[in-house]
Amino acid sequence: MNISKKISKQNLFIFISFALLFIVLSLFVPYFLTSYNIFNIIIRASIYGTMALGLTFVMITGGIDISLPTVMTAGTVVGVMHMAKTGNALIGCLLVVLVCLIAGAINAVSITVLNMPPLIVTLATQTVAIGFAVWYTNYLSITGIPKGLLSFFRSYIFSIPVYAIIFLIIIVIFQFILTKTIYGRWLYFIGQNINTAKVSGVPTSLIISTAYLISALTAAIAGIMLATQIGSAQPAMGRVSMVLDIISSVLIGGVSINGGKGTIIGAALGAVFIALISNVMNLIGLQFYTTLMIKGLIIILAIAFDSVRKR
Amino acid sequence: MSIEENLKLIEIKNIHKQFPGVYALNDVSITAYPGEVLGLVGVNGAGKSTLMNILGGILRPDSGHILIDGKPVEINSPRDSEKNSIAFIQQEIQFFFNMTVYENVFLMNLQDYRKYKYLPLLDKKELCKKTNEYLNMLGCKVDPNLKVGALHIGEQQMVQIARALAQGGKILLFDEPTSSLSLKEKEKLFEVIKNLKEKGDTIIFISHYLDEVQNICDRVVVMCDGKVSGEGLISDMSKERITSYMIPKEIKFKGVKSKVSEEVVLEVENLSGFKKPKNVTFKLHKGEVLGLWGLLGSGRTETIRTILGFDEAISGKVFFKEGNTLKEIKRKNLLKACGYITEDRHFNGLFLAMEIWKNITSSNLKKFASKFLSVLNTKQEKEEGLIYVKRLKVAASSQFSLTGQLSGGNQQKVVIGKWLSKETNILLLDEPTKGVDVGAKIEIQNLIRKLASDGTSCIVVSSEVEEIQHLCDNVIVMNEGNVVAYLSAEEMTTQRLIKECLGKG
Repeated sequence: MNISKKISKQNLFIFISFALLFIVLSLFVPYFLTSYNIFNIIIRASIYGTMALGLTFVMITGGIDISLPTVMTAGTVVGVMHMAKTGNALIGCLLVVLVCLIAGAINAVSITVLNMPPLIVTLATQTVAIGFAVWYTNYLSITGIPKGLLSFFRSYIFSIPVYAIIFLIIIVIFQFILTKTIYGRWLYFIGQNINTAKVSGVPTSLIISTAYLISALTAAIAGIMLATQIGSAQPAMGRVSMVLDIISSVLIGGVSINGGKGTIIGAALGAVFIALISNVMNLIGLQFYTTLMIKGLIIILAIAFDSVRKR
Repeated sequence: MSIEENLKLIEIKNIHKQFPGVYALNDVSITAYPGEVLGLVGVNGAGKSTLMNILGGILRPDSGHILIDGKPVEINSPRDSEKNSIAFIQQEIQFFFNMTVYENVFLMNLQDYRKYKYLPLLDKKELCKKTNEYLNMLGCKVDPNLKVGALHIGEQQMVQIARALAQGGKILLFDEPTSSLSLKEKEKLFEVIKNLKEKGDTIIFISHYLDEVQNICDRVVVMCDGKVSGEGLISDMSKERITSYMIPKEIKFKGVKSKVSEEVVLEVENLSGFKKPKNVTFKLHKGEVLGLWGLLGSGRTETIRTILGFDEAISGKVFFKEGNTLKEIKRKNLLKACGYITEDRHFNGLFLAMEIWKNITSSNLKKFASKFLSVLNTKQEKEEGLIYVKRLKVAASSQFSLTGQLSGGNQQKVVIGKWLSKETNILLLDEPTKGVDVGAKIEIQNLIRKLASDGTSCIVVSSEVEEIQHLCDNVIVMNEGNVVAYLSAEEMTTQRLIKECLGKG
């Protein structure tokens, strides 16, 4: 009761700040309140947010996965290359998922079996994945995504973009898993105190591994979404700043960097917030390095807020 | 400096300290004189450690004064404590094990030993010389250049005392200093304490081993339930008299007649781990409370962890009663059928930042989940939480309180509730009343006896003689990983228990 109230209070806080921000932005930022721009924000939030949801699973166990954007890139270039060659969208999509899951499995095994620190492991995977993507594509961007796939993703259902609908479906499923199932409770147990979790009979290594696999799966989904949105796959699609955006979404959403706390709804709201901020900084013409500084500061503030609240 | 200036008289006056749910110190006044060893005894949770932590600057009293040589002093931090010549020699030795003896001894004032005034280089020779002086004073021959981690526990203890002296300690607080020492090391320590006493230091010696107290102390103060319940010269205080002051009057342990049946529910055969246990064999019967007794480090916890498969075993078998037959079981599967109350509830017993009800159901979630997709029925879980909060009389506003906000005794009740909710036939309890106030302790002991008489089999690890004697139908005595004796209730005299666990050493 106590905790769920606190969390919803925080979500409410984010929600209200959204509303206020939205009004202010609509009044003062030109071109902000155009349907084109709003859809832009929603699509961006859906793609980045999907990975933020996967990262939430990992961060609840007390881990971190910074390999998501480049793993997404590696998977997507392989899948799209296949689509371009054979025109088979389904096999292409499955290849994206497969490559991402392999990377996720490498993360999982290194962390749970070999006991390596998640930050270093995923840093290494990140580097391998981007190296692989560049080698595989030879720096070229790969076009030739089948028309059917493109038009499916770019369509609207009841004037809601398909991207947003996919995002919403994932939110609902993940929220259910985290709050209603034994698996979800186990994830929180592990983040709260892994030693107690072990004694309580939680198969900790297995559960932590699945968290990294789930986050890799969201990278695959996000990769397909991003490729259909920009119409191609390219090694530069998963930039460094993307990691920042995903991590800050999760942190702003109230997921603790130390594990054991946080909600899917929070992370999703965080993703929308970050998409909004990025979009506005773009609209008012801030340069790339300025936006990087601001985003970095947002992460520091979010972590500071988390540790102050703990005291 | 004249001799008188060196002598420190410490007076503790009307100290009060409350923790949520526990009155840890209630109007405590104690005086310790220079040139004497004052024994401070009491059962766990009597308030000894709280008092010492106040003198050591780790806790602050709610009210009351501390006077040294008649002058009131403020002790707000370990630094203040050190400034007032108080030195704390803790139970668990606090060191930087990768650093040398001299570095550890002069830890707090290394900056005073520079080779050149303006260069941050240490004068190693001078440091070693000084360290040797202190160590010689203690009759201890240890090379100051050795790493502390390479020393025996007894030697480490001496280095710790040397550090206390090097920091200018005149009032020395020994908190259960003998709990991890061998018999020889103990005798050495007592000699050192006697020498320090003759030098004129003020010594407070905390222990619950009464033999030691009678051996070394001049005067004894007994604490019970946060109050001083008795004090006097050691010549006036017989062991029986001290014991009578130690036990609170109101709550008494009600012994329940044991109902041990012939039926074996768990059998361990020649179980060995990498270091400990060594060839442990025993049988656990239905309704039996089996004690595991031994000194710290005798391998009791390791035995339990090996039985349950948390530690690797190199040989041995475990048999478990399923249905009507005793079958060999993979140790990793045994946990599913057992409750395991761990020694350190903060380390691996509880989820402190979670509500009580989530802790209660944590080891038994399947009971509250649907078969398909294992969806949890949280309403039912919360009801279960409430049932155990009521049944175990957990002092909390509701099952929604955060576990971390409860007192030690109530946290321990939550740990026990967590395993009772699983309704297993076997409970393994490692120090079930450690760090628990006296009231909760007796409640927990009563509960264990009640469970046993209802047919649950328990294995209890305890470091307290009285607890073993109260609870156990039979006891296994361990020494260095070996089972050295198996005693029945009639054979469990204090002398016998202590004699057996010391082994040949």
